[in-house]
Amino acid sequence: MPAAADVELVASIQSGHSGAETALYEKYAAKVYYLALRESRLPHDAEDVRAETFLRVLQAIRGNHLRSPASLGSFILGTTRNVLHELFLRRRQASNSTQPENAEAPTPPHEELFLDSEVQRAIERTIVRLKPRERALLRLHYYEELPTHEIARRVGIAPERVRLVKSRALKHFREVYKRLDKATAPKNLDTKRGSENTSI
Amino acid sequence: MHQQIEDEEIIERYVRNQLAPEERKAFEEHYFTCEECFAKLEVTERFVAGVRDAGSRGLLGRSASEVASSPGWRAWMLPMVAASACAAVVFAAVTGWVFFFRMPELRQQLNQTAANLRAEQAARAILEQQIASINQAEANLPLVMLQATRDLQAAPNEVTIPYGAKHLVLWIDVPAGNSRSFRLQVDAADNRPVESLDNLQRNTYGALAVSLPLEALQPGDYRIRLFRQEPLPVTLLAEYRLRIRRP
Repeated sequence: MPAAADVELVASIQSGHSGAETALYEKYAAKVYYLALRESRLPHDAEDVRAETFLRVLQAIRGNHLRSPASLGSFILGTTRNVLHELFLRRRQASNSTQPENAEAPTPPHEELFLDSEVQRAIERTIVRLKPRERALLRLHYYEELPTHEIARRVGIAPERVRLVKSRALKHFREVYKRLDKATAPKNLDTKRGSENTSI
Repeated sequence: MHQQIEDEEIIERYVRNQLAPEERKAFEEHYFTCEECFAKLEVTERFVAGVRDAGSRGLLGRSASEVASSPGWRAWMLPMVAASACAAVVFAAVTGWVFFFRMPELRQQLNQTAANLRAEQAARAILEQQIASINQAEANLPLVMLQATRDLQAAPNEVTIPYGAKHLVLWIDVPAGNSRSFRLQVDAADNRPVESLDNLQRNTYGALAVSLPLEALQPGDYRIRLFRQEPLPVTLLAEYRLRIRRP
């Protein structure tokens, strides 16, 4: 049970177990970084959010300020949101006090933050196995963002089939990506999860 | 929860920012404590990013808008459609003309040709029959020795044609003189010309022997006139009356 494990983890941290804080970080760092990157859209801001979040979470656990250890996940999520909120406040203040010509460049769409050469290779290998009609379906759905019934009409299949084709493509992508990820894991850990190079 | 996430495609909709704020918060609460869903979320995030990237690189084929607005497509597709339509119209017109006009003409010509062919075959058959009859020996040949007369009240020369006879032989004693060749003119009683023979010569008996096909000589009365052809001028030498009977 995740809640029971979190209760045990909190107890271990509070009792001064040396490996408990690392275990807490390994369990939640990727999630915090993912959410932070998704919301902030800038990797260095996401890293800052992650570091600040775990600093506050550990302080709360050590200071016994955590009301419900069984809700550790929700507490970390809430802390992450608070840190992100503060980040956005600072950004707004910075942009208000900065001349337009010195303002930061617009942030990229969040999906571009999750694109790298491995993802591209995995997608290419997935696409090769698709029929032309299935490729068109993916393009209409994810790239042109048309509604399902319109996609079904254009591609000439039943609307229920749209979901099936997506699921098959995603499943194949997952298998290919997992193989590629294993083969290149050591050099990509930081860009994907951002959990190995960061200290609290 | 997992069934709802699966049924409502919560993960993909979260990645694509299509969840309502409450749904988004609820799902974030969930994946912060669910390793399985977070793993799916990461993969889906990369999958969507990869597919969008592939779409922008043209790896998923041309977009609908590109296809619709492509001048190249219009450049060859429209003329192709127009050419096909024209070809179809021309083909239909030609087919209609052939079917409604040319075919009846050809059919009529064919019928006419077939009728002509049948007529020619019939004529050929008759000729072949005649030739065969000519080449065959004929027994009991009817013969009449014509006696000249100018008396209309006198009895005509009569001959009864036996059954199966195909020719009638006329034997004409020619009056003595210097005539070298003769013409024989046979007319029916109503003066309709029936037969005419030129360049007749006397035989060793000093007479003219003439074979007439009986096909043209139906039972009835005939007037036969003998003319001198040479030396000129042509002169009527004698006139005969002949009555042909059938048994």
